Amino acid sequence: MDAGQFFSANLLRGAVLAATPLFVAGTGELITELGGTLNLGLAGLVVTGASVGATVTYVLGNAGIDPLWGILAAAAAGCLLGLLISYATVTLKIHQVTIGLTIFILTSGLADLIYRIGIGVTSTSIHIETLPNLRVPGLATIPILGRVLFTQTLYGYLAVALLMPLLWLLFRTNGGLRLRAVGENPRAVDSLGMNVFRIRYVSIVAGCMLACVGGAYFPLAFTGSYDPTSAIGQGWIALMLVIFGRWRPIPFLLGVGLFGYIGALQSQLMVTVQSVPPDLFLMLPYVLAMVVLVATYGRAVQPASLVKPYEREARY
Amino acid sequence: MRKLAMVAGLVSLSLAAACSSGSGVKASGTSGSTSSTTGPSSSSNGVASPQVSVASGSASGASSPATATGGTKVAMLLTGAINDDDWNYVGYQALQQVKSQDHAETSYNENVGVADATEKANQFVSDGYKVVIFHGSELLNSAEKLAMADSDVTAIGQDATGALPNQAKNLWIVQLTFYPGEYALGYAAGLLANGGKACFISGLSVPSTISAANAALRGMKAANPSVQVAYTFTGDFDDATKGRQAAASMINDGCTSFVVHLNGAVPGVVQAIKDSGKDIPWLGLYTDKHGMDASHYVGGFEFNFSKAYTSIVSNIENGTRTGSYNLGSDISLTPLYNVTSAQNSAITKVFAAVQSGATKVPNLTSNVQVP
Repeated sequence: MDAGQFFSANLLRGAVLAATPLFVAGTGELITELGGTLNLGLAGLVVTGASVGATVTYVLGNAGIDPLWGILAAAAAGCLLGLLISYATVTLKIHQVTIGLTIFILTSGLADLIYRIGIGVTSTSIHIETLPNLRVPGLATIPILGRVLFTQTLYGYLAVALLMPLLWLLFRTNGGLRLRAVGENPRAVDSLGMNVFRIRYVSIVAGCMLACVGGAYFPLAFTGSYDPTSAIGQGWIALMLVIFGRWRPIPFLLGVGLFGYIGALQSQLMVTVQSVPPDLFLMLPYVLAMVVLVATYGRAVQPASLVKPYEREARY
Repeated sequence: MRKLAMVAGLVSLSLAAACSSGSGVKASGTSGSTSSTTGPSSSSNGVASPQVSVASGSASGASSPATATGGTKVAMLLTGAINDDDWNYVGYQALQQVKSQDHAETSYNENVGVADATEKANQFVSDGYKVVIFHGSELLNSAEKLAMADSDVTAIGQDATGALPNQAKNLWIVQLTFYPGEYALGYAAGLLANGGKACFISGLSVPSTISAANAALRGMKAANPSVQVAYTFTGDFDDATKGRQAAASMINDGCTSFVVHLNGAVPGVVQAIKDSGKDIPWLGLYTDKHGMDASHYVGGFEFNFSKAYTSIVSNIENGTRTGSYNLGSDISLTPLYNVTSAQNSAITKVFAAVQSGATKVPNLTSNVQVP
């Protein structure tokens, strides 16, 4: 593999495709954690989104319904699960780590159950309609960038169009400031008359919704099938990326891009470098992440109130 | 606080690695990680030994296919989901056939990984199951362990080479004779590559798939000696994401036809082909996948696991608790699509030749050797 192939249009496009679900699910988790809630059930939400998206699209697909409805269904599932998590962590003040892992186990099984009930055991090939690629007229013909950025599905375009401004809003507007303040010092926010509980509810529901939408990407825009293993794995990576990015948008996006690139590169290396066992290349993303995590350890400053439930009457 | 962030990061990373490599927590089990079988690497087709019976297309060891006594509790461990319309679905179908034909009480467990197979088998044994089928050659070690640990239970495992040396007296081996059929599929891929590159893609690198890869590559060259060939192993038969990424990489590398030896990951390959916008024909295994991709799917071959497992269970009930069953003659070619009548005829002819033994295909299980 020569040097130019490391930046070929096809490889970079593969990187963008691999990074997209990490971007969506990771942004959801970033919002949740900036509000002070650690959601360890993220991977379960991602796989639930994949399952709901696949099942709804498959069931409605026979009626010619667009796969976008599957994404909307996944978002709805995320909202419901987000309300459950919010109630448990904000209202009941159950420990966030406990509820997160519980949600992970619950949703992992729920996802498979939904898929099995919706699709069942069939002797015919399961065909899940996927979103088609949309070429942006004019821009799609730009060398390299055209194929990388302007030949994506509607999902990809919407993800960038909606979430990039959202990340900007989190760090450049009063609304974003309030959210981050709740994650740092909820008592101060409460003293100013703002509803800490409502802000946390909104951040958790929004985060869970994005997590499920991120999961729906796999069957509806990437593989055309429900694959719980890779969805769960990507969910955990998305969680790690928030920490890797130190709860800041630019490092987070860099991490997303890096992981997407490594994911695409590992497949390319497995094909072109036959003398090395493919298992070594499969390790690449995780080895890299370990190195980076250790290197950035000293500089990671999480939101001060992360994992801590807010109790108005508590004496600090 | 920093420590919490670090620990959370490392924990999530470990879980992600475990899930993606296939040995972590999953909804109803775990998917498998790489596992090697203990069978010998050989170029011969099955090994006969004084202790086991070796037959082609049927199980020998019983003097007659005596009437099944029925009532045997038979369990099956599957490496993926039964609605994959692929490997696990045919295993599930076979189990249903065992249930109806042998009047057995059956149960199964899906998405069983290599790391969990022994434990799940023991759970079935403690529930009174006397026959445990390990449907996947990567589970062979667990089948052997079960056989050695409990002489009252009969395990059925799978291997590329057939009967094992020092095979336990309560262990049956189903020989996964992929290579003749894979040769024919390789021939078809070579024929349809149109002078480009014919490629083989599979999941785990185990003897049966190594043998399949070698056969497919030789078939490709037999169709067209000047065709370029390539192969890759994604590490997981059921990870559609890896399947798509690997197939996309191979297409970027010039692949113009595929032999796809995957299970749940097949849709990922289909998506990669669709995303490329190129007309890339592909062939698969176990079931007719025309409904999955009518534009590019050519065909494949199917194994008759139903016949294999019902025969073995009947033999077990009749007291023959060890042996080897060669699936070799129990494979059939699916209808062929997207080919001309001349291509159809050529592919069918090659398939018939390997089936009959007129064309000898070597069973090379140690490593992939590109011809």
